[in-house]
Amino acid sequence: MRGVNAALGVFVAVLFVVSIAVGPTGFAPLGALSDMLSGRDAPMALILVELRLPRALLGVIIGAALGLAGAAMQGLLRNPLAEPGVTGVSATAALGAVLTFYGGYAGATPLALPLAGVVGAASGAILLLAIAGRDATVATLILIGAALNALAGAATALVLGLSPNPYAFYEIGTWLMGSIADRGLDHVALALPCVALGCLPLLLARRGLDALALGEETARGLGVDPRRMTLLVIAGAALAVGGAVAVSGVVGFVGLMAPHAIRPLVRYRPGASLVPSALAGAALVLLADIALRLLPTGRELPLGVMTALLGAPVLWQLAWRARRSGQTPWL
Amino acid sequence: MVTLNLCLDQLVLALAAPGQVVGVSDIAHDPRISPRWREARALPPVRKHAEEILALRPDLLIVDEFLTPSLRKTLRLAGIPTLELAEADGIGATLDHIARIGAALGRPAAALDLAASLREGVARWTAAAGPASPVAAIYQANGMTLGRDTNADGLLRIAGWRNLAAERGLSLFVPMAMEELIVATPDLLILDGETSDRPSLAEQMMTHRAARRAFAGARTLVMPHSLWLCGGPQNVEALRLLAGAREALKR
Amino acid sequence: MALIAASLARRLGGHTVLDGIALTLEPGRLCVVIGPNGAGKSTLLRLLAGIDRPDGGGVILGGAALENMAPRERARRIAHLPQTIAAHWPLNGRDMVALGRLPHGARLEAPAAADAMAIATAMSRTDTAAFSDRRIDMLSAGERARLALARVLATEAEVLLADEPVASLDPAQQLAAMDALRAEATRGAIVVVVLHDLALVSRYADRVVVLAGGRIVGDGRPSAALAPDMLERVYGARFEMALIPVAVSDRSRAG
Repeated sequence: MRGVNAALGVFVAVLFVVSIAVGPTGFAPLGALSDMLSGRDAPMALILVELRLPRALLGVIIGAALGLAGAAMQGLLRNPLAEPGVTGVSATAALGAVLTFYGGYAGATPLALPLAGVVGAASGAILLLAIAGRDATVATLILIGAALNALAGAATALVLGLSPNPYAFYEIGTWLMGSIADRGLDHVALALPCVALGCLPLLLARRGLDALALGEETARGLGVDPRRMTLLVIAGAALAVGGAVAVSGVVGFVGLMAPHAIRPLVRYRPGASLVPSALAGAALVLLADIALRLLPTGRELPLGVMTALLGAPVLWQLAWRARRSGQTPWL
Repeated sequence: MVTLNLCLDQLVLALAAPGQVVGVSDIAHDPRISPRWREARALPPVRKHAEEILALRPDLLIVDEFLTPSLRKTLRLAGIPTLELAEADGIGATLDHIARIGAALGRPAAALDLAASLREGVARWTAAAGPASPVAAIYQANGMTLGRDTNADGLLRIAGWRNLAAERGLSLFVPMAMEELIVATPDLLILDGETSDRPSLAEQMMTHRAARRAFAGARTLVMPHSLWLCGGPQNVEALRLLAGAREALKR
Repeated sequence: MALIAASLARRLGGHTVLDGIALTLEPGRLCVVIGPNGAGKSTLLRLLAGIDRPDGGGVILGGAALENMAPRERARRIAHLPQTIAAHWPLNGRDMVALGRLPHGARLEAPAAADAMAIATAMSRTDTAAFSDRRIDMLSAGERARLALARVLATEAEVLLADEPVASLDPAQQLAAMDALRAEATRGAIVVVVLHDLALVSRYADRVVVLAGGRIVGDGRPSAALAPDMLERVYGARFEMALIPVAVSDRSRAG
């Protein structure tokens, strides 16, 4: 357990450094460092601090938020497919952010954009739970997720189309497929508070999520209130996902893949999978973001394209297992 | 007569006799990108939809090369005479457009006047250019820059600037990473003017902290779209701004 | 310290499931609840455990009303074994049992010494140590049921409420499980068990509560509750005392 976290921590740290090292103008850490220490606005120092660093930081923040929220949602709903992207919670978060940003309200207060993302994510999560309940089957959850995704995606396109800004309509890809390219430290400042705040309730839920592994009746017998757990997870996931998506757009499948990879390593304990899933999510997003910068595509692909390429097969595998066993897939 | 291209709209509006034009492209109404938006707003906006075009029963259609095959076919079937002009990539092409549109409208005298005043303005702001000329980089929404064979590149050279993208062998409308921009340390960064009072992610890139820090103060010039997006008399004002930026650099 | 149910009532969807239940359960005694399907046995156990709120009346443990008790404290003092054991994740056997220590604040990844001791004891008493590192989805229903019982024992609660704990067990394991529950009573716990096997009832119960139609229709020594007349009245079938093979001890104690 501690070993898993330590190994993942080292992996994330290595990817963080690689992410900072990768870019169109190469890597000159020593020159940049000496520039930074002397306080000069030299090009390399500027690039490292204002472009590479925020991008790597956002990779960690957004990946951790999605991984943690995914693991917590799966623990609450006892369903390995309950993930911000698949369930449509990310899409409603993006819709909230899009409404605020293109409406011109993002400048009103610094936190208007992430808060709009949080409100969007919370609405999505509440809608999901209202329709699905806490013990929906895999198929039900997927259906509701598909409906929420379609609705939020269409509404996002509508909002972008209605914007008088000629570029707005073409930014649908960024919102529905996600990107952390060309973000700055100001974006880090937008995402970080919400994500950090969201982690608290999610981590508070860890013991309750363990108890829920044996069903709600057992959990209640163990002194765990499933309604309180629901509240903690909705609040935490909405804050974390809303804050992340408001800056990056929908980056799908991270919350599916990270806990999926982690569970066997922590003996399938939902509570124990939270922190490693956050680390694995960070590693995944960093990895995907590095890969898309190294791919010889003319223009950089959206981040969500990379994570979908990796994540869709996982979804397939889960569906295949569910079909064969006729029950909830675990792995 | 109907035009379907923002740049051609401008020349047609400058040359046509009253009542000659019955429709212009819809974006010609936008003051941020259309120099003659006031005149354009007196006319119905036309999108590249066959129905909207045919409803105006034009006797002549002036279009760019970017029509969909199906629209092209419909217009041919409808038998509307069409003048197709490629995008202007500099003052030379603009002068050619002026002459051809003037002929098509039966207004050669107006075309000669307009061309003469454009030539005069260009001559006024022409500066000697050479290897020692300062370097300007164009950074537009979505991290795009303009290289050779663009109207902007032509104007930069007239005003005595070297265009970073053109020097790199890039042509037309191409992406340029902000990192490369910062490392290249051009003498001047030319940003787009606003296209709307509402924001977009694309335009947000131009105000990225990195760019703000790298090109603080006089080293940034905001060029309104309407001045150099299209070839036309408005380019003289763009040349004046570019010359001013060069003067500021010397000080 | 007794567990007292005072005029408990429970309604579900306009239907009265339990009504006028009054019980005083004492430490050191093993009380068995019998009754036909739908009599309200599981509902009664859930009310006694404080998992469900009654629609009338209340439950008092040691002078304190359950509804005013913090959930954690309630769970520490009352352990409840539900009839069906859901297993939504393939935990291993030890982790499943360790969940019984959750009300004590134990963490699954690093249980304290007292927690580890309670877990090990509970597993040895249910003969489930062999399943420590096995995934519970790979075990048989009976093996899982024994782990579930171990989970309840590990809580070391004052009150132990078990809903049909032996339903999926073989005869020897049934005896082992009942022995373990008996031992809980002996150490001073209040033990309430729902059973259908009347042979086990007669063998283990100190007291039998007969539930029918949501009301208590019999409450007393096993001999009275298991009298053929009572059983016929409750189950609507004729019972006779018969001679059938009855295990005298489970395998683990035989050798």
